[in-house]
Amino acid sequence: MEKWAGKIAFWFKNQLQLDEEKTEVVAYSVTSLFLLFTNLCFIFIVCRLLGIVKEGFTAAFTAAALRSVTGGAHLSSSRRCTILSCVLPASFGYLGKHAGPLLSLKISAGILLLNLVWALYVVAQYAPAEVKARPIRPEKRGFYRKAGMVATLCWAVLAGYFLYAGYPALFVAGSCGFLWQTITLTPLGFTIYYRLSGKK
Amino acid sequence: MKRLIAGVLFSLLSVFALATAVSASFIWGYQPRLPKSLQ
Repeated sequence: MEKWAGKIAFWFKNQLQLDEEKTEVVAYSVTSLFLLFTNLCFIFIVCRLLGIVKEGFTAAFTAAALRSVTGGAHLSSSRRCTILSCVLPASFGYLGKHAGPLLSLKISAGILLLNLVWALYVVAQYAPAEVKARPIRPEKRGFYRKAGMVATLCWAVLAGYFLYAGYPALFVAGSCGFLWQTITLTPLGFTIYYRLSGKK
Repeated sequence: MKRLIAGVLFSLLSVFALATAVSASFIWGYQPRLPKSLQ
């Protein structure tokens, strides 16, 4: 992938006489776009095959919304990350579709409350969680932490809506996606991702 | 014409790169190394 991105960036460099910095930005942008597109396609294909497109995308977008402001652990290669980013939302969607309707309103409300308390604690304690490839400037850390809190509260409102409007499958799928994203902020999450990256 | 298309595409790619640089992390999957000029 990086080779293709490099070739495309080189074409832009030749056409527009770009300097090294701008060429690097083009290569980064092409790589990011490609990864975003492939991840979305894989999630869609797997979820479509399982008949859980709505649930799978609810889990994926919930996690993505929180991740965009809090950061989190990443795997060591794009292939591993794409597989995990596809398997997890699909699993959460599947769980949501089949387990969601079985939960009573009281139990679901309890899960929502526990998830909210846990998420606020983790965001306050660990967000933003940076990785080597995406360093976060110290003066921006407070902003991302507050944004993480706001995202958590927004999610709680949305989850409450899913619950009371009669969408238990979306509630469970979204809650699982959210919970997983909070785990990727913790030292345990980094350890899990480190192991999944094939490192010992 | 080729240069014009390259210019437009370059602008769009730069805006996308800036948008991803504003967030704390790449939202799905692998995080490509963020260029120094965007950090």
